[in-house]
Amino acid sequence: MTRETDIDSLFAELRSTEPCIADQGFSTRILAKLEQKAGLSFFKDALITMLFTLMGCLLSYAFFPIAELTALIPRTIHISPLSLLTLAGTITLACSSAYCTLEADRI
Amino acid sequence: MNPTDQALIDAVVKEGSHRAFAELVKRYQSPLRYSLRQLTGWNEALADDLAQETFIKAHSALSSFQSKAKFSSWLYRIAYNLMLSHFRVARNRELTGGLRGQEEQSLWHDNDYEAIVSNESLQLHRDLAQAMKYLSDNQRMALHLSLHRECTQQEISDIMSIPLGTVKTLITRGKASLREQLADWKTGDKS
Repeated sequence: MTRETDIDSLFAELRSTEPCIADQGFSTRILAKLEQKAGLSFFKDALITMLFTLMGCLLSYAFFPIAELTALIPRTIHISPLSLLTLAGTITLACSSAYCTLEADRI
Repeated sequence: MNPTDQALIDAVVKEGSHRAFAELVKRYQSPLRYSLRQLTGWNEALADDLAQETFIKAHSALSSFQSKAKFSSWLYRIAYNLMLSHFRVARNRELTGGLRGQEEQSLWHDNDYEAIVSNESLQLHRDLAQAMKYLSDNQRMALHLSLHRECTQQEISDIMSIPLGTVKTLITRGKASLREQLADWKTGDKS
């Protein structure tokens, strides 16, 4: 018997003796998770998010000292090594977050 | 008569039937969980978590399933991507060195299996999963799909989203590596 057929026959044996894994609540757990997710439909979820975002915007508009903050914006900008480093750090963080989010959503 | 996979998928997509999806899960849970056990060095807890996540992702993406493909191949594709993501994150976090450094998290529960195979056979399945740990993730998947699930190279190429030539290389190299592992194992067994 060649080495090649050794591996092939080993897998053939595995195929013929593959254990049937009992469900033991596996499918029930999945359905329970799906029910949880289905509790709120996509549109309801989006609607609630938009509603609260709108409320947040209105509250911010009413109470946020926008004029005072605008006055604080510098008219001139000096680029220092520290500011460049901060910018690089922010970009790195944003890219990492985007990467992690995409990885989590990947099918 | 049992409804076909496509009929069940249609029922899930069009009517949102959870019962139909439960039937699909019941049909495919055993082979998928078994495959994931083989691919994770027989880490039962991890394999079951990945299988559960696979079915949940499959449910949310079921409307994008194209009936040209086999449902099982589509499931394997999701499972494979989830497994790769899991190992990538684990490696990035340096918690483990892939499977090699991973501790044995699961125990051998014979009760989980229907009594159609002997303990000796179960040990063989577990031993092979241990030997396959030393292959790369891609080699392990390609070898499992080719030799155990008897998928065609085109199917493997579709599942793993890699060119046909790469599939052939992975299988050839995977077989060579596994042969080495098994040779060591047999030598160790005899000594």
